[in-house]
Amino acid sequence: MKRPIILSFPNLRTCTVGIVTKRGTVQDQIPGTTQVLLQTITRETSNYSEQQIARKIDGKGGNLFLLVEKDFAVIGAQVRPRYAEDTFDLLFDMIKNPSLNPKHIEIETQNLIQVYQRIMANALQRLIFFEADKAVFGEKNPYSQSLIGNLESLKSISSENLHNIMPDLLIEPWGFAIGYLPKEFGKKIAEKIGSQLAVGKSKILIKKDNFSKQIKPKRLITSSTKEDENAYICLNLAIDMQASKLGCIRFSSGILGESYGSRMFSVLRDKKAFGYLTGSVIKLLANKIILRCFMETKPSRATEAIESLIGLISNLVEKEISTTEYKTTKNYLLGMQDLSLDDSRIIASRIINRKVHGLTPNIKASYKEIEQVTPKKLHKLWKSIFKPENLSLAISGDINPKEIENYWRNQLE
Amino acid sequence: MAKPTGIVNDVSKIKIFRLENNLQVQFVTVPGGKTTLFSVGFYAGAMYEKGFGKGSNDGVSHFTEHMFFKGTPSRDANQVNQEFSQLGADLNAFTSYDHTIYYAKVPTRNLRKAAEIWNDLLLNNELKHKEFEAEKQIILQEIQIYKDMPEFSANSNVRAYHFAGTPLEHNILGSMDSITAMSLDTLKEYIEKHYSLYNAIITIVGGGFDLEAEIDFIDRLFNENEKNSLLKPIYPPQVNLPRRETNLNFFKKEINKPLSYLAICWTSPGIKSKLFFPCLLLNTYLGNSRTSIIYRNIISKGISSFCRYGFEPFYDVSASSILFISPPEKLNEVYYEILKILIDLYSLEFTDMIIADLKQEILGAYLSEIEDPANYGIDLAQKFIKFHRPLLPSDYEKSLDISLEIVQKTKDKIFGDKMSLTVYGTGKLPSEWIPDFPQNSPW
Repeated sequence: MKRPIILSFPNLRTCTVGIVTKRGTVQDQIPGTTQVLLQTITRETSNYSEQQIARKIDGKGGNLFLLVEKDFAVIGAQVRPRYAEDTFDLLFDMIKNPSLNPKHIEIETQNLIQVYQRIMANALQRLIFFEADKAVFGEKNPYSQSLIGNLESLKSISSENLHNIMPDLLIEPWGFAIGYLPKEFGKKIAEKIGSQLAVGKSKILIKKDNFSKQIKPKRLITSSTKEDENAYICLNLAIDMQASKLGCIRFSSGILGESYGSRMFSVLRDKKAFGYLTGSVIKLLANKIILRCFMETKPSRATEAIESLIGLISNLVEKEISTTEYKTTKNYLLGMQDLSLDDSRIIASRIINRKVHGLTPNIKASYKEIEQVTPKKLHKLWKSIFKPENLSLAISGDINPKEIENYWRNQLE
Repeated sequence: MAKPTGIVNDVSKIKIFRLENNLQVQFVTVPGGKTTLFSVGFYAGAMYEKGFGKGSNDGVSHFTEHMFFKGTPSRDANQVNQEFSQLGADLNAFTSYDHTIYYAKVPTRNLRKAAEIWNDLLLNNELKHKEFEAEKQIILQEIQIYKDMPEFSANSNVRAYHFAGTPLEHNILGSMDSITAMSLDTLKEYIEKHYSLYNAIITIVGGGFDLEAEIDFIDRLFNENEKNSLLKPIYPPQVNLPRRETNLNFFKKEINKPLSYLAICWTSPGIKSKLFFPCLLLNTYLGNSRTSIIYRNIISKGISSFCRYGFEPFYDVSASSILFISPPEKLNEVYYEILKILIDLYSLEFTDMIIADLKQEILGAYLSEIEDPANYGIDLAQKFIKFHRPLLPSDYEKSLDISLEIVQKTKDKIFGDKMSLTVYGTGKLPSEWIPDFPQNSPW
């Protein structure tokens, strides 16, 4: 059993409690199974009916949530601190004694089919949820599979499939309580989480490296429909996970697209008026750090937009950033760290992500990662990682796939 | 040095001041907090735009909001963005029907600098032709993005349809035509008419600052520009939103998507009504959480995978709406089920226990929602504008002490009106969608 993570923040009013399981969607033999399972277990347990669950959490102003990811899954709730202990018992009951009622399995499967159709109907969502990871990992890699599977796979999921994978939820789960936790209360809930999750068994579910090795670079994914009004672009840069590089990549994301002061916002949006949306994010997945830059534009300006985006990124290789830009970005990123400490659920997501990916699971460490970056370190890293084999592109919307393919090939050469 | 003229309200950790130039400021301190929201809210929004057709300025409120980020004689747009980034600011603004709010959430150490920049942007804004034309392209592209989202179109069209002929018919973003035709003079005219710090509300919520010192600072900062035109007195415009005695309106648009989008809209009591707070209880009974009747009877049964219950309060009336997404073959079922829920609700006898449970849920959810100073500050600013007075969590709690009789009255009022429907997607013909209602139903 791993020790629970208990973090107290006196400025908060809520507490987020939950359980992290090692079961993620990459382990799905039938894509979508983990998602259906997690959705179903929140419906009913042997001890609590659906209505009782709703009254115990929503009825008290709380909020039950699921975070089903490729590498892990979380079942949690953001509640007022006085209900945290009871809520944890209920969450634990969901993974220990779910009823897995066939009626609920059927409904949750149908709901996910609708979610799938909804995402497919919107070019931007299609890009984010389905195409972006395919571009990084290649079509056949399990990490390219969407978090909710696909139409065919969802239709084939049976009750037996769910029963088969159910025991995985109890393999080394770990718990957390983050938020407003007065000292004695924190101690009490730590004991509670520790004793409940002591049932967890140890087993290696998956070796992430196996998937990382299957990655085929230089991927281009296009998803074109004439019904869409715009073109949506996502350029990925993926490198092997190393804690020492993370700060520099976070810094790069700050320079490129995170704020109104970033290069993407000032050049692509304000100067060149390509479109309304620009931005960048960091994603940790399968022992990879992925820097993702995205934007939208008119279909007729798609290739011009990609060229400008690549130009912005390659500037980081050509020239060390100025002291002013360095200071601005550093202040921005450190400020964002401060700003993210005002909601117990957001803090919990950050901590979970760090722990799952082998990083020190505390807030101070993420400040340190940023503080240690220097313009020289950043420039050195960019010279070593800005290579065609680390880049991939996903584009969706009203586009001409052949034209994009030719263009992308030329760019990489 | 000017001093605040007096404390208007000093309860529940909120302090509200009216400065010498009449500007109102509300402060909330969050114990243990290290970040602060600074916001300025105006009585400016799509509700105050002129009609459609020739001379229309549809979308001007939202366009104006964009232009306030474009710089002043002392800092251009790029400098503005760089300076806010330096502060580690979460910077943004939004336009609604009856208000526009500009804000920055910053680490508290940078609060004063953020206030200074906003002061400059709002009072010394330069509306330059070149930036106006560039921003026009961005807004046109923003409108295009929403065209890729049928759920957005279904929801906004049902409101426009239900409130046709009233200011709520406006699309906040405007249309491709109205934005293309818009001139810089239209924006200047709009600002002249609707932007005034005289009736604006500055809201500061956060922790780690010395309240008295910050009040002094804000007072000095906003009194420096005494001759600025934004400090002239403009009172909130009165806009009447008549209750519409419409028939059962129906609008359908065929789109080539695998799912269908059903949106329903009806008129609810406005903020001025005594039935407003009871209406919030009914919203929670119907509404979005897992305890709600819509979740239990529609989502939980797998009839629709998505439902969003919306409620936009205004002074005269409020707009209630529900959006469902489902496969075309299930749309019929969704429609009948929601009608059944509404009809059953009309005849349902509420008990004190149901009301107590609903109150507990509303307050619990509200306290979670305002955990972040940004959400809390924006919520306070919106309430100040909508209610024409501050509304604190404690006031909110008191307002929800509601009797059974008044809940029944609220239901009578709501269900005395008609509703409007919009369907986006494939499905049956309109005539088949309007059932024969039972004799005793309000429809």
